Amino acid sequence: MKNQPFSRREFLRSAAVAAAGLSLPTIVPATAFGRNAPGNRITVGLIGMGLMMGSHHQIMLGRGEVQVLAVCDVDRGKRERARAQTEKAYEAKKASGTYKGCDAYNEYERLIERSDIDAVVVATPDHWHAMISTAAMKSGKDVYVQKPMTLTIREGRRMSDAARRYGAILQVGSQQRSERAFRKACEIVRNGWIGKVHTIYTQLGEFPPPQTLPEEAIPDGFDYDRWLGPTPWYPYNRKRVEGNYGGGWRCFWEYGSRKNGDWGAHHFDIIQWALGMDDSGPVEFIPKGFQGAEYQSHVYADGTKVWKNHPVKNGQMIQFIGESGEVLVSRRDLLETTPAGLKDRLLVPGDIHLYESYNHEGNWLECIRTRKQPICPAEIGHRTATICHLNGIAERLGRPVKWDPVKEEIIGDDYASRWLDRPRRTPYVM
Amino acid sequence: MKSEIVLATVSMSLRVGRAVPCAPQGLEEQPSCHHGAQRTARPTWGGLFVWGVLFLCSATLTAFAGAEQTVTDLLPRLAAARVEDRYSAQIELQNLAVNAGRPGAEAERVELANILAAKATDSDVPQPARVWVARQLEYIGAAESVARLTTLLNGQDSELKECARRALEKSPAPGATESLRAALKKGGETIWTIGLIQSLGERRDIAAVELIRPYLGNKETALAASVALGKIADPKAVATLWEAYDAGASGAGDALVAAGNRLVSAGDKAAANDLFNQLYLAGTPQSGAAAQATKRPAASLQVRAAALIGCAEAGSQSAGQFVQDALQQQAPELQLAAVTAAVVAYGKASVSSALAPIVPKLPSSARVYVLRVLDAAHEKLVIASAGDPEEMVQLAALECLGQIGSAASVPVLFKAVAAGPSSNQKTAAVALARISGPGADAAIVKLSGEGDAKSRAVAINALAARNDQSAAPTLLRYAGESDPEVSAAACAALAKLGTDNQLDGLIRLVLGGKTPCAIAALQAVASRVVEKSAAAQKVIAQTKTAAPGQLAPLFEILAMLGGNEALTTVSLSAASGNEEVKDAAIRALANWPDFPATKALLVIAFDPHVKSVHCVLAVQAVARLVKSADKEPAAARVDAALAAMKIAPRDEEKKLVLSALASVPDKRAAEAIRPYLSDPKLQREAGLAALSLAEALRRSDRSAARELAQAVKDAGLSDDLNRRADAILNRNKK
Repeated sequence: MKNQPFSRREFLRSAAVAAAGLSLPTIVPATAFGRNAPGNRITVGLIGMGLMMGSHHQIMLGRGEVQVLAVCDVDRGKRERARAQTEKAYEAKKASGTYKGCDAYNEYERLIERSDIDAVVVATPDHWHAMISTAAMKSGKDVYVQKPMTLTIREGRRMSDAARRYGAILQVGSQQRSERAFRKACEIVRNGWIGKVHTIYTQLGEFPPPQTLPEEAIPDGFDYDRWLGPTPWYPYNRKRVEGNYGGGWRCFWEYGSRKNGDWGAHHFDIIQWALGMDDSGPVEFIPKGFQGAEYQSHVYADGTKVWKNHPVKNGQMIQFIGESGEVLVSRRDLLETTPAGLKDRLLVPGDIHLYESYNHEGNWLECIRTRKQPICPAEIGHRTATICHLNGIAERLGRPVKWDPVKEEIIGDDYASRWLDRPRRTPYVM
Repeated sequence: MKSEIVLATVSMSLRVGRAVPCAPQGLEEQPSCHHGAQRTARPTWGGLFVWGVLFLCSATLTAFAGAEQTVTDLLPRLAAARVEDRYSAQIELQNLAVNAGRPGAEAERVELANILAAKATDSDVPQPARVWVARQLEYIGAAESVARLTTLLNGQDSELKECARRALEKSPAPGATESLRAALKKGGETIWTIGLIQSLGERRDIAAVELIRPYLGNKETALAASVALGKIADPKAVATLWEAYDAGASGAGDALVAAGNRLVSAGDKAAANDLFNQLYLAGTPQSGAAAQATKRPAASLQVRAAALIGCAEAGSQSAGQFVQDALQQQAPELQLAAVTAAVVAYGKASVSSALAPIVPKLPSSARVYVLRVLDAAHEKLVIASAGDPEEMVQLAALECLGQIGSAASVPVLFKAVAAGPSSNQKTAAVALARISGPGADAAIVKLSGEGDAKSRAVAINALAARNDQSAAPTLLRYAGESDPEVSAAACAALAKLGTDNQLDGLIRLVLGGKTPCAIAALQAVASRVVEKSAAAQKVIAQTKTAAPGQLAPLFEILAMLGGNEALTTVSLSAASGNEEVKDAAIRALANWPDFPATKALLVIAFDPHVKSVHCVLAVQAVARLVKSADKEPAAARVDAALAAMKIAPRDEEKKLVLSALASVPDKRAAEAIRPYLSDPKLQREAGLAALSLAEALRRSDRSAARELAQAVKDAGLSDDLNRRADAILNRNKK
């Protein structure tokens, strides 16, 4: 049986298993093709060359085990710049000083149909995540998709099921899971070191309201119909499509869940992790303003309540308040605890040890080789995105939404249930 | 009177579309809302109930009349010439619609949906307004709006047609399906038919299967058709998809997977089972009932993997056999799917028992995947797998032992760690740090005390990695052993795990002089001591019996702990007649963490018999403490600095003191610095210190800040300093 020849990708996958280790960086044995030989690399396509792809692009170009073979964007300028950047980066590593091995596509389908590409990074606006990622998984590719994982809750269920059934390694870009302080905070909560957690505050910020925008001329080389994809048609305006941390398309409900999706996909995700709710979720979502509520909130079945944009002590991002202590955590490895010593308390074998990853992209690449679940797989991404979207739905409805996290259904509100998915604009099919 | 007020409020709220009770954030509560009903003032006696009902009916009717007017009023704003001005009207209408869709308000919803449908089809209404109105029907439209949406669906305006299609796709009314089906029958541009096919698929319209079938043969519509049929998933749709699959239509395999999943979730497991069986076996030689599969084209690996998992989810009797078959194949995709399917088929509790017996016969990659789901009952098998000839299997086994292993697994993990650098060593070391099955702890502790030094060091390292502080007393014992490898490993472990309780023992080791590595462990433990005063007392007690040559490390520890008692002890020793003791004490004081040490340090510095090196150390330490002690009174800090400046033996120390003075935001500090602006050897540093201090003084004493900056400027030290002084002066103009 051992003598049967493997295809290159089959070899990649099975040989990769050899490197399976507990949270250790793994490399296919150098004896296979020689370390960093072309056949030893994970070939990657990048889809959506905007703001968020910038760092992914650089990371992929900087990793010896990755070869970027193609880029895709509906903006010709962006994709051609990305192609040039990619080729320039590889040129610098070639003895000949020339490299012309990166293709640039307008249509993601053309990238996905390539059988020589192992995996794709999807960093489009949210409304394209599910369609592209699912198509990629069906074609046997592994996926790194930006957060939130989907635009709608039903898309998330389908995407998670697809990842499981097609055996794809899918990493959602909620990269705070790969930061030490957030993991430590979650371990403190999960191990009960601050007692039963009853209240959580988190800061997501606010976007300016969406706008109705006048029509502008579509720039040359910009495929606006594809940019809109499955979302309803609106006249082109630069402000609608621009990638911008403070606004742009992120402001519009058509393309996301505003701050609930943008930052909620990070902080709600950490809260889910800390509470051990990765395969479940809250049971009620209460919008700001309802019965005079000063802040938006959602509630877990055990009564734990999460407040959005409630002030957080010391300006931190998340504050967990338990019966016997507190944990405050933020990016840049900021962690505070009460009692103070908790943050330095070491885990012993009997304690809950959470998945250790120190590099989100690296973890994904490692899992492509080992075929292990990454730190933020599709089901986790889906459950987190569900919270983002249900908070958004409650906000737009102006009334609380009760949720059954087992059946994944809104309880007792038929018209709210319609918001669980959105019809897709023809001809975009999922 | 009261009812009139409520009536007026409801009417108003619907007209403006804002102040509805359940409208989004920031809006006022009103009594017509479902939730708000609980908040409405309740009748105080029963008879009012009947009147209340009549009143509510009346209020509702009036509200509807208000709704029509509200919508009518919004229309011009929805089509405002300045597009930006449309937004507020859009939100008002949307809020009106979502509020009408709240539970328990069906009559209100029907009425509003009727109004919206009428406006959407009214050609007198401007198109942008009609579009937005029609979009609301996507959220609240039902049977009442089907007819008018159908009119839009069959109209000429493509944007309105699309709005109608979306709204009909979401409508719960059976008539919506008929309208969509009729539109598909009528045909149209390809792009339009794709939308209709998609909508009918979403609605799982069995009657549309025949209509959709022809679109499977068209390259542009095939994907939409197969996806729709996969969602419909009735026997006819499935049969149609099989035809497409057999004809090699792309996407048909995925659609069949979707259909199978749909059948599973609908509870039709028999049909799902048949579908997935056929799909998994397609293209492989079969006999009997499955013979049909032989003639079919083989599915892609992804589709076969999905079918295999589908078989398990459908409760297929063949699932077990398929799992074994897939595990034996050389395709990692199928092997992985087989393990997933096995977990579904056998359940998490039984999958281990089901798969363990076949592990030895499997290809190596399949063995790896199976090892990931084995439980503690199969520890022996996993231990045996750690000796597998394939490195990938060894690694998976070692990793598995870390999760499920007991005392029995410890030796094999041990062996892998002791064998030397390799992937196995790293994996086994992590496993040893995590293993928590019965007896594992005790087994590691036992191994740490027996065997050769190298093996014991491995066990001691494992104890450290496990963060188990209960091992600290044992480690302290090992630290004192004569073998350097054991002792070093134990000291390193204590540096990580040791607590206040090990301080005494570590001090004894240090004083014993035979355990050089104990000093680092002692320092590490001292650095995180919780009860510093108690710890200091322990160390002080040891100093009383220690030989002069042993005191230096103890003083260092006291310097880490700080506090008055420790300071007194070390200060006294700084006056010792024994040069060795004196030197150790002065060096410890030079590293002291608390400001009170400045007194002792200045005594040393001013001692006429002091060695110059000690004087330098003392002055440097005073400068450091003045700089860092920002919670101490400014006067005390300035006094200490002035004294240090007076006795500072060299310009280097004077510069340090000037820098320290700059950190004391006090006028006296400014006065202390100013004379040095004219000292040729120190004026540059004095200028820098003065400007730094002037910046700090700006908040508390603007006048002093100005004077200091002016003094720097007057000194004319350099262009750079002059510019900076000017900047401060400009910001602090009177």
